[in-house]
Amino acid sequence: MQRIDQLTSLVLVAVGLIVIAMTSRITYTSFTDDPGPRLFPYLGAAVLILSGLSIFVKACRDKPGSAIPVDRALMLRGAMLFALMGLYALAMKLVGFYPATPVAVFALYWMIAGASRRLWRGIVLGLATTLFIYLLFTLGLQSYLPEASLF
Amino acid sequence: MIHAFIDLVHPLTFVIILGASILGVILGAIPGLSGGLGVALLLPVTFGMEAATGLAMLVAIWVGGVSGAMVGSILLGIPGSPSAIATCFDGYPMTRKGQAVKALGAAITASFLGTFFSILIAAWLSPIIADLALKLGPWEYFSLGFCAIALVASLSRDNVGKGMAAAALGLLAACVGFAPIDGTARFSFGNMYLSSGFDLIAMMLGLFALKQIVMDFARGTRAVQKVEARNISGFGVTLQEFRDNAWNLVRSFGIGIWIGFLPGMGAALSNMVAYAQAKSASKHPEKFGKGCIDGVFASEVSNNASVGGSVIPMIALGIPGDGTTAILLGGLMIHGIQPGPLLFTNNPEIVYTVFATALLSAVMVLVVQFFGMRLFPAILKVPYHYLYPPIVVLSFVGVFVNTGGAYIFAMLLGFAALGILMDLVKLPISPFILAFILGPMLESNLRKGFTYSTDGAWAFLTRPISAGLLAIAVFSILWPYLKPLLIRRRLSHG
Amino acid sequence: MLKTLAAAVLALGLATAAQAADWPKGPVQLLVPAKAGGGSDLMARIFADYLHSKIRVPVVVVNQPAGGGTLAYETVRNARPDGQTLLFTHTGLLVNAHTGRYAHPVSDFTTIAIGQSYPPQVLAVAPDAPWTDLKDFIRDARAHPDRYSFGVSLGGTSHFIAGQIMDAEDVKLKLVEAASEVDKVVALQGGNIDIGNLSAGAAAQYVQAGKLKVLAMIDRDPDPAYPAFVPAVQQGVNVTWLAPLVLWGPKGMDPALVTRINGIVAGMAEDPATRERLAKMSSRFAPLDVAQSRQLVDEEDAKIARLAARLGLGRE
Repeated sequence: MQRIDQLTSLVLVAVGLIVIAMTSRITYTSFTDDPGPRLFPYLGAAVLILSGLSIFVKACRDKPGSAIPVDRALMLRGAMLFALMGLYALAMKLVGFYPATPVAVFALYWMIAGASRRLWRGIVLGLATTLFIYLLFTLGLQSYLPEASLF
Repeated sequence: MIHAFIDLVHPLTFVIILGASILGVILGAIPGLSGGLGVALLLPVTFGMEAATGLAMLVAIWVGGVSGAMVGSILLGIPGSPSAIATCFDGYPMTRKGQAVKALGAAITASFLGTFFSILIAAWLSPIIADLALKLGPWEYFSLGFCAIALVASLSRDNVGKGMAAAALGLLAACVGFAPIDGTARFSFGNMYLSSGFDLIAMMLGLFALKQIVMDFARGTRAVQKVEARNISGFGVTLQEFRDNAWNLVRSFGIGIWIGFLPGMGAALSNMVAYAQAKSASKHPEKFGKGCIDGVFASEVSNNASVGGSVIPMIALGIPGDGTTAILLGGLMIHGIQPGPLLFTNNPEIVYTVFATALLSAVMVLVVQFFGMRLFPAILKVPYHYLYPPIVVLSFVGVFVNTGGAYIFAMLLGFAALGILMDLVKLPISPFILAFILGPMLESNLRKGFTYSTDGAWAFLTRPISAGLLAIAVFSILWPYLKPLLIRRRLSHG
Repeated sequence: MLKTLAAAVLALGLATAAQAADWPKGPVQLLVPAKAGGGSDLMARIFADYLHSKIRVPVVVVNQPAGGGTLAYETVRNARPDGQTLLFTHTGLLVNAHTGRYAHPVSDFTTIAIGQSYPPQVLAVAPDAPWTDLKDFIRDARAHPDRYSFGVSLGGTSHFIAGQIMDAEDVKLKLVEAASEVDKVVALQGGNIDIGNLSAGAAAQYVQAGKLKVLAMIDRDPDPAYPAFVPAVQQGVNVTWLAPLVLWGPKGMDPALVTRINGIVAGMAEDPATRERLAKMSSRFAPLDVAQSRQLVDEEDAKIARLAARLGLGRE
């Protein structure tokens, strides 16, 4: 963990410094004795920098450990699922909730199930999930779900 | 009170309360939805009902929602709502050890105890203790919030620095958007969507639900857990375990009712504070986080005790203790009932309806969950490829229903990415969320503290309760650093 | 050539007339820049229920609290001006436009109708405060500039109410943050602020319980439900604040369509179910035609613009 902790602490301190720089540029109209909107971000940034430094000191004292075991296959799988969720979000914005959802559920099922996937099960899962949402939200709670912005 | 109960026994009302309690449990259990959301969305439905019936329905959804939130936490490690975040810490490890039924049993009984007794206390003591809320000024609220963050940050004992760093990030995340008081846009880069700040539900679902789904998939399909559902009698919790946790239950109950009672704070806060306290007071803190029943008890008693706590100022003063009670007050107003200090005098039947429904609903939830408890773990036998796609969809729907804009999807995915990153570098998530929840309240009270008093910042230290809370906060942050020094000194002297 | 042009104009005229008659062409979205379950949301749902009962298509309340209302404003401003996407909110839109929180003036919207009003507001003080009415308070405050604190939501509507008092009566008050009604009640009783505005309904109970004292009503006219509260104007203090809910559409809506929707909204005065609901929340409704509605919005807009400049809140 030593290397990661050192790196993390440096990033945290850097974030703290950036926040301080950005905060100092906030303009505002002040009222009576109010300390204004800069105080709190300064406070947060100060705590962040102090705790970043304490992590750094602790990491240096720790016994040197090995670096992060970067597993490329693992990261690729995570990124793929993440990208699929991003596509789903985009699809809902473009074609609306109801067309996008059954397809997305099917695609997620297909990806997660791996070797045990079956075409029919995916389709049923997609339709059943959409029906459930329809019953609960559109019919039951009468709430508004994403609509197509494309047409 | 008796009359209120007799009215509720009316078959139709009874059925409505039962249905509403079950709906609440379901909404609470589904990640991203909560009883509070159910109350908000069903409020217009009560237009057409009688005041007492409508109110009974809303209260039942609320009680069911707070109790149901633990199901997701325990079975999937995904909290149903922010009030059950701490329930994940030990509830989910218990499930992974095959003790899902035991964890559920502990949570169900703890939930019941929390709701039932806090409502009883509220019913009897409301008028007496409510005025306490008026005695506290912005100084006390600031110090209390700061103290809560320090307690939770110091949970990561081996590295308090990381806990505090996560809390600081949470405070900074809360700064994004219009500042309280003056409305200056901060860190929003002129972006309309960022100017209202980050959404708590998007944050919670990103950091817990989506993060976990992505991580599980990346690491490869997990084996389906074995569940020991047979040979379980009653609630699966032994009397001895209750006896061992007697003090823990009382303390967590106290924390829950007190935090619920304070305006603007509720179950989302109390569960984490009670968990932190349970861990630091425990004789075996090393067992926490690895499937220790004490943690489940602490979290679930306290979040349900906050229900009764937040009812106290609502009934006695017309002041909402949290977001859901604020909506309930709206529910009174649509029936022409003005909440305020005279609610008890002018509309005693309404007050008793609230108490009676909450008690009845707590019992119903207990019974429903007692039978459900044997069915819930069936979810665990469902392979993840059937479970995760609907959870992803529900997460997206949940955040959308809360905010009404598709921009929120970007926020949800952003928090999922942040959650993965924080996991990799081992930054704890609970101080982050807690600091985010408390951020706006901390900031406005800090700044009000300056403007309300004539001696500026000193008031935080000269007011005794405020000073005491700040001292506890500083002590709990510094203790892990001081402890080795003290031990070394003692050793060198000895 | 002339013939074609005439035909085109005729066709256009027919098209707009047809648009007014066609409305609604499906579910109407009513955007509310507030969370579900709050006061504004409830008001919008009463309004939506009424509209639905008249036009017989779903009227969907869409809550968009993001950006202090900005998201809801922008959704409507950028929508097609066909009356399917409407905004229902109070004059906070004008306040936001003049304080620079929102970049578009009200002239970028079409004012369609004025809906019901918010419950009346009063100015309240602690029960043991030395003043008996608003005039009394102002005399004291004028003698002691910057001594008394007024709890407001800084940059929000209540800031403007306080600004109006300071402007009209030439007094200096210390403006401190106490945004929600809860904050004000707690701070007034705890002695952390000296005066604040809150809804008459809540105030009446606190007065009866001996926990607050009311100096004046902010609304122009006395309310029969609260005979004890005297409007500030009747005390000779020139302070009034209207909080009507306004139905706005995108800019460039067909006048015939606007008139038609306005007419439907005006019918709310004769609808017994809606009237009963409004009465329960001590909200009132007086029908105004399109010209009257616009005049009211313009007057409020001018007043808010002037106060924003006086209070130093104007946008840069």
